[in-house]
Amino acid sequence: MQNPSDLELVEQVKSGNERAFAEIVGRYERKVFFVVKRMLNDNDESADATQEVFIKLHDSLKKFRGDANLYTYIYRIATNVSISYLRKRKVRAVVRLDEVISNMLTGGNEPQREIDQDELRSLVSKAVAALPVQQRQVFILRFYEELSYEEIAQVMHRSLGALKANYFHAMKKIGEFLKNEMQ
Amino acid sequence: MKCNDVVVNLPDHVLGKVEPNLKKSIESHLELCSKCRAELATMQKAAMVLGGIEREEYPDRFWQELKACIMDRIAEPRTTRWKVPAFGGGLVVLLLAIGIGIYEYSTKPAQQASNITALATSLPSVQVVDLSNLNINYVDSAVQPIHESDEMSSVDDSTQFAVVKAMWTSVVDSSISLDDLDYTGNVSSN
Repeated sequence: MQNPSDLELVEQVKSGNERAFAEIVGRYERKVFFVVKRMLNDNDESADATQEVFIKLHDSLKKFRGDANLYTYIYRIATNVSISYLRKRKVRAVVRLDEVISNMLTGGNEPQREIDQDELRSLVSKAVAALPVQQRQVFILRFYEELSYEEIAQVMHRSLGALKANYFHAMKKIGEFLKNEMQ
Repeated sequence: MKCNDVVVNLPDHVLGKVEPNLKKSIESHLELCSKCRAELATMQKAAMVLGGIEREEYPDRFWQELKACIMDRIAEPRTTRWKVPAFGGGLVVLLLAIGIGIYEYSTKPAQQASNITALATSLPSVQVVDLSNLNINYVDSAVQPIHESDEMSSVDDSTQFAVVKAMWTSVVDSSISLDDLDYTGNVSSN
């Protein structure tokens, strides 16, 4: 078979073909890694969490009946694994974005300055990582992964209205964060 | 359109992802609503910065190695895949079994001990303490639990405690300190 569909690969995995699973890993490891990395904002944890996502996927494929897309199923595992990693972080200083913004507003006005790509990426990562978990999930799936709201609803089991509201609040917080940080 | 309906669509609007009809409605509302225009300005700022970030790239080798790690871990037996050792779960069950065993033995003798043992043996990776080995009859006659005794003053507490401690030592090689036991054989809350 030249280019089997996701569902065909799943069927092959179910019948014991591990090479088919390697093909699934090849198709989705980048997407999973970046979703997890954006959720966790930590390189080391992201590699571990990505492995865990695929192990969970492998163990649960027998139950996958194909009534949803494989990729929404994978995104669901990826976001759930990320959330469980976030919960495991026992003592880690979490700075709420609201607090950061409030601190900045009370601080002095600095002249606008140039920032490079690395600094910009780091700023955005910080802003995304400071979002509440659900807003972060929605933002990552919608903005970076370009999923439709219907697909995100399949991943997160939430209403379209709630997802749109989450996306708006996420974008607003990121916008305010960046506006203040880049002044 | 109401403000709420407009603002939730603003992120998609600034990223050019709304249908033409919705776009028209949003623009009409924005012309009349300064509050929503302020929200739009924040969205535009976010979209401008986010859109200016180049896609992060990793070398092919990184993805090959990640894939190899995943496939290696999948090939491992399930019991060795996870970082949490089976010992942790086993220990919890063991302590639970001991705790329940002590309670049961101090209130109702004999038959419950075998029930706890059966419960513990049904769980995997557990070091089982066979509470049926306790000499229950001996305990019943020599050590009356305090709440069943009508004549507390007639019982020599230190003797009872010594007997229970001796039995405990003979049955259980436990991390629970003997000093944690009170004289009825229960684990003291202190």
